[in-house]
Amino acid sequence: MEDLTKDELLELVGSCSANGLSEQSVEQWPEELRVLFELAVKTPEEAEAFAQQLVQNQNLDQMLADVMTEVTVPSDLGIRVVAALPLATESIDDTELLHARLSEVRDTHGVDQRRRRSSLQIVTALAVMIFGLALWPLVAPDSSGDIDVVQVKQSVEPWIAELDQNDSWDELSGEATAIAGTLQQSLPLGTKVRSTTVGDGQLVLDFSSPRNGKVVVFILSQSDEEVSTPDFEVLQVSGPFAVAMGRVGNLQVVIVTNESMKRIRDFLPG
Amino acid sequence: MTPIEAMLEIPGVAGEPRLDSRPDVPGGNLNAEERHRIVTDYVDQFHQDVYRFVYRLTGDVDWSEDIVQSTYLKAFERLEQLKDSQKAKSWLLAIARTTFLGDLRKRKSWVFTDAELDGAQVPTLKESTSVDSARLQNALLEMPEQFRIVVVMHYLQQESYREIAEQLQIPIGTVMSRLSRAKRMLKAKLIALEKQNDQ
Repeated sequence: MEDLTKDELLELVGSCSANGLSEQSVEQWPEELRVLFELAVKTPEEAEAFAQQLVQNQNLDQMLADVMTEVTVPSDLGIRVVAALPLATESIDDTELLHARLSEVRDTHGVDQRRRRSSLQIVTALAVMIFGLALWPLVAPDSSGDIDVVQVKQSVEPWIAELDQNDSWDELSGEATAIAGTLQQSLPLGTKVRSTTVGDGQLVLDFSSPRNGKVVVFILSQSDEEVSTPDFEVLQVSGPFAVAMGRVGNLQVVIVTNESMKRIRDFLPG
Repeated sequence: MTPIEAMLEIPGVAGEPRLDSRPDVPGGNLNAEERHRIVTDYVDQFHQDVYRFVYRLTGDVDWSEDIVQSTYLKAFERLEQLKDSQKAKSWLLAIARTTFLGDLRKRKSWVFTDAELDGAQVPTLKESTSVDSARLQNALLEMPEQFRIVVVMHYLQQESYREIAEQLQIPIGTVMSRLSRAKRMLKAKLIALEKQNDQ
């Protein structure tokens, strides 16, 4: 058996209190333990200190055992975990796919309401954005003000909710390929990408991967003018997202991540 | 088995009853429906244990929920690996533990304070020293994860030294040593927190 330190002996004796060992005198201990005790404790003073430490350790043990279980478990956790199980039915290679955060997985109760509310918000947000885009050359020469940041902030949650609901992604094709190329040239988003649309056809590219975490890019607009260097602003939003809005090439985009693997600034230039 | 070896089988203080009835795991290939039924049963039975275990490791509600979810998704995908349904809870906790460690490696910004101290530096724990859940959590999070895991396995899961050693694949002496050092760290941190509270 390995040599024991005094502390380890205390640990061993303390953990054996359940069978009454600490109530017994050392002479009554099993021989092996008695030998270990005699090797570690030489004098009556050390024996006294050992006994005091033993009592103290036992008090600590009891306190820890009592308090350790005092953890409040979210009441709907089990329901949400079961609701998330279908994610695993899609022949998932665990190393390839990042699962959605549980905080984004909801019980179906209330989803319809939220979806309706989200759809309305999306339509409103898109209308405002289109209106804003139309007015942009006239009223907002500064590129950071071309679309109302407030509207974008409000739209992120409904967008993500719609993506969660649809969850149907396509291989890149046509214009989406060119747009993804523009993004990949300037931003470290990785090569794995797929696309879908939300609202009335707004393009969304998904760069999620085990390395990135969950990352989606909403393409707000394309223009004839190109910016020479990408320019982004990180927006403060509520909810389990990090959001950055800005321009890259001839695109105006919003990047949304859950920051589970990388921080959003990791995807931005500079 | 020697008397000391027998003692090493003794779980931590105030053991909770071990669950004996668990859904059977049919051998061979399982279809999605069977998997869903079995894993749903495991969610019903064990998700609270898994969450408590993970929460004590992370101290963070969202992160804990993510790990619980990942644990059950992995369980769903790897159900054939569970050979003995009696060990389902331990199996799930092992998945949760490795998921936690994997996450930890990815969180580069995560910094642990190494609160490890020599025995001589640790003040005496007063009899009046009390521990509440939040204070314990603070103290746990100050601890390097290899110590925290052992503490949580021992005190929360009531696992014996031998069980911990087998699960972590480390010598039993290392388990004892880690527990002993972890307690020193806990004592020091709890006393420091109590002083802060008193001021």
